[in-house]
Order: sequence, then C-alpha cells, then structure tokens
Amino acid sequence: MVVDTPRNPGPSWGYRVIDWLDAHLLPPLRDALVFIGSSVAYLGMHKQRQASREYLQALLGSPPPLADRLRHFDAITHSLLAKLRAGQRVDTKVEWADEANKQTGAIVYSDEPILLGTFHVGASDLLGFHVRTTGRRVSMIRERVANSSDIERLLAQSGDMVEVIWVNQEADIVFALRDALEAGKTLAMQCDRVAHASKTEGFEFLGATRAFPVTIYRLAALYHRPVQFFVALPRGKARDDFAVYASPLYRPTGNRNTDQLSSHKHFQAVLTWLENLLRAHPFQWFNFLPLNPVWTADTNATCQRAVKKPR
Amino acid sequence: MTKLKHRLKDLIIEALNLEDVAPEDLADDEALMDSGLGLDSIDALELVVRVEKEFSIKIKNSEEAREALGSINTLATFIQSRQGEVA
Repeated sequence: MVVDTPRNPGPSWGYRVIDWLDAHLLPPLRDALVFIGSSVAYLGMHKQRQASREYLQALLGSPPPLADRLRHFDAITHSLLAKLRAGQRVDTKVEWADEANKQTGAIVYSDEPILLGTFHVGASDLLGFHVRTTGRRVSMIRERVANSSDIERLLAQSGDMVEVIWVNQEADIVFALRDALEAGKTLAMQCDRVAHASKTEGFEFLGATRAFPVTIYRLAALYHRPVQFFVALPRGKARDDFAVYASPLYRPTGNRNTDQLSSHKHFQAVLTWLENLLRAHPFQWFNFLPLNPVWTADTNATCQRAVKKPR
Repeated sequence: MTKLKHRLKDLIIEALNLEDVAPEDLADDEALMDSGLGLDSIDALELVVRVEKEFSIKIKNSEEAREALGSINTLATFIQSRQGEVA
C-alpha cells in the first residue's frame, strides 16, 4: 500500500524521546521535563505558536498571556503522551462523562449503522477505545502519520471490530468508503480540518463565520445514516482517564432540501456545543494550524452553489 | 447512445446538485474528475452509487471508476458494456 508522506508537527524522534522519559521517570520529574520540553517546542515551532495564539485569542477574546500559550503546548504534549501510553502499556480509561451523555449517545449501543464525527480535541483520537466496548464495528477515517502506535494497538486489540481507512490514499478512499458503508459498518471521522475536504459551509465558531467540511452530512444523506459527534476530554487532572461527551443526534429524512437545511443547523449546534466544551477545557484544542478560514462566497464556490439555492 | 448520454447528464446534474448547469452545458468529452467538472471523492462516490442503482450495474474498484468517470462518453460506454455483459 502506498501512503503519502506522513505529516507531523515535530521531529518523529521527539515522540520516542518523550515516550522514553515517560516510561522511566517519576511523574513529578516527568511533568517538569515535559513542561520544559514543551516550552522548548513552543520556542522552536513558529507556525504552531502562531496557530495557538490565534486560537486562544479567539476563544478568550484577548491576547493570551505567555503562561496560557505555554499551557497549550504542555497540554498537547500530555495528550501525545497519553496516546503513546495507550499505544504501549497503559489501560487508558475512555468512558462516558456522565449518565446524561451516556443517554444522549445511546445509539452507539444499537445495531444501527451510524456516522461518528469528532474533532482534533482532547483525547478524541482515543475514542476508538471507547467505541469498541459497545460491540460496534467501526471504520475510522484517519490521516496516516508516522506515530500511530495507539491506532496500531487499537487494531491489534480489536480484531475485525475496528479498521482504518487512511485518507491519504485518495485513489482508494471512494471504494473503501462505499464498501464500509454497504457492509453496514459505522464510519468515524474528524470533521474540523478543511485540508482533505472538497465541500465546506460557513458556521459560527470562535467569533467568526468559518469554513468547516460537511463531508459527514453528505455521506449521511447518501446512505441515510444518522450522525452523532463525540469528544473525549481529560477527567480532572488524571493523565489516562478521559470523559466522553455526546452531541445531539442528527437523522436525515431523505428529502434533499430539508436535509440540507437541517444538517447545517445541526452542525452549527454541534460547533456551539464544542465551543462551550472548549471554554471549559481551553487548552484541549489540538489543531496547531491556522483556525478554519473565514467563510466567504469564494471560500467554496461549489458549496455555495449547493447551499444558497437548494433544489 | 445519445439518449443514454442525455440521461447521464440529467443524473449528474441532479445527483451533484449542479444548480446552474443545464444538460447542454456538459460536453460529452468533458473531464468529470480532477479538471472539467472537478468532482471530488464524495461526488464520485455519490455518482457511483447513483449510476449503479439507476443502471443496475456494479463498478468494482477505483480503477474501473476512474476509467468510467473519465467523461460522459466513457461513462456511457462503460454502462453499455456492463449491460451487454449482463444481457
């Protein structure tokens, strides 16, 4: 299988170094070194530093103090450590935040195939560890990067319950998607980055109308599948214990006009829900990329055609 | 064949919600993917699903899809050949 060159935010050996430190040092010393390491990364990663600042300013409404910017880098370092531990040696807990969220997300316990959306937020990369406990067969759509040991472990543990469709393999993705959907599998995908998305729409998020991909809703309309979003966020100060939150469920009607409007309205509600979660966990947004672009008529001409004048 | 191509154009316009496009705007040899209409992967999936359902054929893999979705001409030829195999 040919996969495009993996993209990583830093040097690939960096993960191995912090993983070694994590495995061999006492937690207080480890945390101190992680903070020093993430501060060094902060100094050396200009683009990520800009992206962090842009995000924090949009969330907080004012230029973020240095302490907050460092905490943001510290948070993603601990998130990467949690992924590495999940990939190698720790029984990571990824469980419902509370009974209300369990009730909201109850569809994952049914036999109905669904589309699961998430974002580059908190430990959402580890949601597979939660979903597999429901007995649901899931195909995760992911971008392959060099450090995917958590995915490798998840696949090894889950047998045929979990598979990955690598979005990097664009030539094959159409049929990988079709086969998974026709087999009644549940698809899981991250829905915040516009890089691999061909159609976007404008949604209010962090103080502006921003472009977000709507691929998940296009698949929902095509295969008449319900859509639900989940994110996993740290539970208190625990390092390997994550709480799962569920958004309201969306169910297409099969009527294109109705669905186009209702899906847009649903995703807006999801992004508002996400923004509220981020306000409670401000350092858990892990897109160290420029914020989603402000959506204008030219952002996505094709999308505009579809959205402005639904048939 | 002409009737089939016209039917395909209607199907493409309807399936992909091409609001401002009329069937006569689509040239028979216009590329559907990459350039031309510039279908993306989800467009392609939508078109594959609709064509399979409409014409009771199966497009087996990405190689076949790339060949079939080259243009209206190639799609019509592909459908005819598949329907010929079934007959």
